Amino acid sequence: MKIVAVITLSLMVYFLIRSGKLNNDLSLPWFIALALLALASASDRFILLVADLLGIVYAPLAIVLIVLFILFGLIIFLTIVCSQLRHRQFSLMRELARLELEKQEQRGKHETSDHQGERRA
Amino acid sequence: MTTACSPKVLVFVPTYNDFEFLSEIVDQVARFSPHYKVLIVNDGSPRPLDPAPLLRGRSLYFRLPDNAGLGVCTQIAFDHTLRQDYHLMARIDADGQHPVERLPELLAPLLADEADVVVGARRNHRQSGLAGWLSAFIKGYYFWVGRLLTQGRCPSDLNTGFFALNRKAILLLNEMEIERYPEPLFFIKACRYRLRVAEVGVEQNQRRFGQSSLTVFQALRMFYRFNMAVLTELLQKKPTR
Repeated sequence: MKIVAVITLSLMVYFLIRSGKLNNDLSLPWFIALALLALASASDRFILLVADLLGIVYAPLAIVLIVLFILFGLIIFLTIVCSQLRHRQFSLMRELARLELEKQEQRGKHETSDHQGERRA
Repeated sequence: MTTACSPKVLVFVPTYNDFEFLSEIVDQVARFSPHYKVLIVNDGSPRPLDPAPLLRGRSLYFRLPDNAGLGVCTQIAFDHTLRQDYHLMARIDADGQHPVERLPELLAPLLADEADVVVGARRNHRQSGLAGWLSAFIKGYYFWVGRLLTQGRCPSDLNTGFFALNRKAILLLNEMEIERYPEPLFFIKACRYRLRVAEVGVEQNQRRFGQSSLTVFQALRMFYRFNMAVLTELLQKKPTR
């Protein structure tokens, strides 16, 4: 049952990629997270090992900890991606402004030289 | 010297929904010198504005496609000053609270090469209510941190949007990651990097239209950003220039 749930979630991620709703590059952390969940759900020994390593007396709580760790990793990853996108968006805005303002400066220079030409004429 | 004879000055006016005084600012600045140009950067205001009347004469206008904050607007102004070889850049708020008639006084120390940054320190800046109390607290805190970081050399008003810079200062500040409400960090960084910072006392006009964009939530975000930026600044290498 646990493996079926993980396979269903993996298929969901795959279909999201196929339909173009999830970017191929950004899907990797989801598959890593699902692989970790699969490992945790498939083997009790893995949970016991994690619980033993972290000093958790009640072993099933290790699963909660693993899930929290995965969620934390995913959120950090997505925040980094958002920050990068914001940075790129601002760079594009600056570039757009540069082009538009240069155009206005050029237009201003032409108008000034036209006025001077008219005065001379 | 070219700068002293006919300095090219860019007067940067960021605006978000404050359009009532733009024409007045453009006209007032145009009266100072034909070499002064106004750059209005509309920070994606939802209110519609026809820029055509503003573009007559010596002014430039750019509207950001989305609200990106004062940091991006300031970087656009810095980029334009550097690329188009302006000698100086001044900033005035669009809400009509800054005394535009004091602009020559603000620019005088830069033109005389006595300062790299001139701050128009407000003498009568008061707000009422919770936002006012919070603003006064934050202002006091900034001043305290600023004095600590600059060995007492920072200006008395670190939040003012009425200031002027020369190219040397712009080159330094343009390297920073500029966020919303960047003024306190500008002045602290300028002092830390041993730029010459001068102060001109100004009386702020009463706001006649609209309301301050600084809400309690914004003030708290500003406080958080400032502390993070100060921490980053402290963790950087000690300035040697």
